[in-house]
Amino acid sequence: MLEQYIVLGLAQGSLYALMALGMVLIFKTTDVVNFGQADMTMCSAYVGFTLLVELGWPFWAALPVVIAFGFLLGVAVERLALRPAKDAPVVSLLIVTLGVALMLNAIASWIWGFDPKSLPYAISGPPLVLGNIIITRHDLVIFVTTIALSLGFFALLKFTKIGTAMRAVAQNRLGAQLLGIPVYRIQMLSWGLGVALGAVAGVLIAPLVFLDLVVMIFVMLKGFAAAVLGGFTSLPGAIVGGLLIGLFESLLIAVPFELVNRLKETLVFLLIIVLLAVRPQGLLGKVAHRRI
Amino acid sequence: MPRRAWLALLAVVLVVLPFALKGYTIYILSIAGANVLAAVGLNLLMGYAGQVSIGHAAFLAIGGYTSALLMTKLGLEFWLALPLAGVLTSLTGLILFIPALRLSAIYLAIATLGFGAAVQQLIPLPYWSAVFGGHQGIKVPRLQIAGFVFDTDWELYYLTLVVVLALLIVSWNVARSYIGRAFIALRDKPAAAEALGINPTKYKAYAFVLSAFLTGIAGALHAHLVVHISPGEFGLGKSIEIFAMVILGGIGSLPGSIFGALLLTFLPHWLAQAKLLYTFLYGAALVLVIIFMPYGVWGFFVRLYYRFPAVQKLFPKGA
Amino acid sequence: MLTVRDLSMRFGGLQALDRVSFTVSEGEIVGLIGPNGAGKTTVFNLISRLYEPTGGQIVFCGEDLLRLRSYQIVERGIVRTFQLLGLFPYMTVLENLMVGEHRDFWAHPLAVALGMPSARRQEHDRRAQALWLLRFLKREALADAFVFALPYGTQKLIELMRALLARPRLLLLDEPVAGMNAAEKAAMREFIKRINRDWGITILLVEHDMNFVMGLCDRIIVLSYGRVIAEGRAEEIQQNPEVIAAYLGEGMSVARPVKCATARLSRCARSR
Repeated sequence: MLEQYIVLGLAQGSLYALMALGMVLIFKTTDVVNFGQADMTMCSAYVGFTLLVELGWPFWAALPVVIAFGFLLGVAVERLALRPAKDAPVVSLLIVTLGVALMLNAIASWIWGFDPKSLPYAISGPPLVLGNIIITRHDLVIFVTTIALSLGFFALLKFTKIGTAMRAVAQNRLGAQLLGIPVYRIQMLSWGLGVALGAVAGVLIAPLVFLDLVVMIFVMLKGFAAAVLGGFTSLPGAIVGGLLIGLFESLLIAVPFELVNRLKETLVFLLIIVLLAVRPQGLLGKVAHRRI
Repeated sequence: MPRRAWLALLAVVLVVLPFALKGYTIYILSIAGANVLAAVGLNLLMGYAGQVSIGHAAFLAIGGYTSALLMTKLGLEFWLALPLAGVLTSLTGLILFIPALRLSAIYLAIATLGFGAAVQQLIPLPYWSAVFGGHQGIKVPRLQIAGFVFDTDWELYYLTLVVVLALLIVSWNVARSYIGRAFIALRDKPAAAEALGINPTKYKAYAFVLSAFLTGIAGALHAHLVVHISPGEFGLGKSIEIFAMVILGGIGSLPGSIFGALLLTFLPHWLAQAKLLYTFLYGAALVLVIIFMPYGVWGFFVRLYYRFPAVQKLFPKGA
Repeated sequence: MLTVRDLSMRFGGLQALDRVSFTVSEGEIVGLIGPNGAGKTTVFNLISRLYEPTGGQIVFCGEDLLRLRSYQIVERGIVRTFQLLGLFPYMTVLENLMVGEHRDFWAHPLAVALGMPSARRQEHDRRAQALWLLRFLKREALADAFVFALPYGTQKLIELMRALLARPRLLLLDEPVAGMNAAEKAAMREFIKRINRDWGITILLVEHDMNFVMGLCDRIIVLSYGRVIAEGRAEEIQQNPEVIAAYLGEGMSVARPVKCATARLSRCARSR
C-alpha cells in the first residue's frame, strides 16, 4: 500500500517539478519570480482543452501545440510586459507578473467561461499492475515526459551553445552582454521555455483535477515551494524539490488522521521552513558569499 | 509655500472632505484608511528593513479576530480592544522574525507565504469554531466609546481618520529616527551597519513587531468597519493586494504607501461596473504603472520634482 | 592597546592568515601593507568580528575581543572603514553620518515612536554634531546629497567622517586614499595626522600607496601570503630584502625596476 502512495506522490511531484523547473529557469536568467506562472499554465491547459475536447484531437497531436502556445505566451509576456519595465526594481517586476496573471485570468474567463472543465487522460486504457502497485497510463506519460524534459533540458544547458549562453546570462548578465551574447533574446527564450514547461505540467495535471480558473494557483504554489526547497538557484534542485513535495503530500494523505489531511498545505510549508532553518540555501542551492 | 502650510491644508481638506462626498464613498474612504495602515506596516518591513513578506494578510486576520473577540468575549471597550489587538498581533510578528534571522530574500518570502497560508487554514478549523466561527466567520461589534455608537459613515470616517493619522505620525517618527536609519543600514550593507553598532537581531525584531502592530490595527479597524470577519478574506490575494499597494506607491516611501492604498482601494470600485473587464483592467493597470513609474507613484513625483525647477519653487525643501 | 597574537584564518582550502602577530600602541599610526591577497582586509574583518578566526587571540585594552559580537565592537571604541565602501547608497550624506552616531542614540523606541521631546532633542543634537563635522571640513554643501551620486574620493572622505562620529579610540582605515588624486591624498594625510595628534586617535591603516604610507606611519607591518614578513619604521622596511622580494619578485632592488622600466619605455619610443 505504501508503495502505491509513493508512486502517486512521485507522479504528482513530477508535475510540481516541471512547474518548479520553469520558474527557476525564468528566475535564474531574469531575476524575476513569475507569479503569473499559474495563470499562464491555466491558459495553456485551456488551449489543450479546446484541442482535446472541443476539437477532438489526439493527445500526441495536441501536446506539441500546447507546448508551442506556452512558449509563445512566455515570449510575448517577456517582450510586451517585462522588457518595457526592465528599469524597475525586482520587487516591482513581481507585480508586473501578477498584473499579467490577472489579465490572462480575465481573458480565459471570457473565452472559456467559469465552469470547470474536464480533460481526458493522455492515454486511455487499462493501467499497468506491478505487484502491489497500480500505475495508470497517464502516470506513465507523466513520468516519461518529466524524465525526457529534464534530461533534454540538462543536455540543452550543458552541451549546446544556446544553453551555455543561458547559463552565462544567469550568472552574470553584464558580463554576458559584454561578450556579445544577445541577452534580451536569451531572456525571451528562457521565458518561453519556462512557461512551456508549465504548460506541459498543466495539461498533464488537468485530467487529475478539474480545470478551472484557480486550480493552477495551488500547483504553482507547490512548484514555488519546490523550487525554494531545492534552492531557488538550482535546476536539479527544482526537480528534487518537486518530487519531495509530491512524496510528502502523498504520504500525508496516507496518514489516517483527519487533521493532518486538512492541514496538508500548512504542513508542506512547515516542512519547507524546517528544512530551510537547517539549510538556509535550500537542498542544492549555493550559498552566496559576498566579499566584505 | 512652506511645508507646514501644506500639511495644515491637507488636514483641513481631510476634515472637510465628507461634506463633498456621498455616504458610500466616505465609507470606502474609511476602508482605504485601514488599508493605508496595512500598507505602511508592510512598507516599514519591506522598504525600510528590506524583509520581503507576502503573507501579511495573516496579521490583518489576527488583528481583526483579536479585536472582535476581546470585545465580544471579554467585554472590553473599543479604545482598549484596538490597541491590545495591535499588541497581540505584534507578538505574533515575532513568530515570523525567527526565520527572518536566518533566511534571505526569496526564502523568507516563501516562509511568509507559508505563514499566511497556515493562519488562513488554522482559523476555520472545527476544533475552535465555537470561538472563531469556522468558515462563516463571526459578527464584529460596532465601535462604541462610552455608550456613543459609531454607526454612520461620517462617524466612522472621523474615527478612522484619527486612528490612521495618529499611527501615521508614529510611523513617521520611527522612519525618520535612528531606528529608521538602522533599518535601511541593515538592509543595504549589513556588515557596515554592524560595524557601527547596529544589532541586527534587535532591529529586525523591532521591524517585525512594528509592522505587525500596524497591520494588526489595520485588520481590527477593517473588521469593525465591515462588522463581519471570516477567514476567506485573508488569502494570498489579500496579501498580494497589500504588497501591490506598497510597490505601486513606491517601496520605502511612506507617502507613496498612502497613495498606493488609496489607489488600490478605489480602483476596484471604479472598475466594478465592467465585470469581466474589471479584472483585465486591474491587471493592465498594475503592469502599466510599473512600466511608466518603475519606482512607484511617489518615485515618479519625486523625479518630477527634481526635473522641473518650477515645481521646486512651489514645494521648497525643509521649510 | 591592541594585541594580535597568532591570528589564523582559513577559508576552506586557503590559509588566508597564518599565525599573524603584532601590536599597536596607543597614539601610534601603524600601516599594514602587503601585496594584494596578503590578508590585510581579513585582519580587519577579524578585528571587527565579521569573521570567526580559526586560531589566535585579539586583545584590546585588556579585553578579549573574540568574546564579542560584531555590533559590540564599536562600543569598545574600535571603528573601521571598508575597502569596498561601507556607505549606505540610498541615504544622504547627513543620514549616513548620523548612522555613525548610532551608539550615542539611547532614546527608547517608544519615546521615539511617540515623538517625545527627549527623543527629538537627541535627534536634533546628533544632527547638529554631524553638521558641525561637515562644516569643519568645509563640506556642508554635501549634507543632503545622496551618497551614490558622489565621486569615489568624496565617498571615502564621508566614510572617514562617519567613522569619526562614532568616537573611535582606535581607527581601522581600509585604503583611505584609494581613488584620490595627489592633492586629495596630501589633504587626507594631513587630516589623519591631525586626528591622531589633536584628537588622540590611534590609527591602523591598510594602504597600497607607498609614498602615502611611508610619509604617515610611525611603524609599518608587512604582510605577505598571510604571514608577517617584516615590521619596523619606514626606512627599515624600504631596505628589507624580503619586503622587496614580496612586492617585486626575486633578485631586484627598489631602485632598479624604475630605471629598467624607463629604459625599456624609451627604447620602445625610439624604435617606433
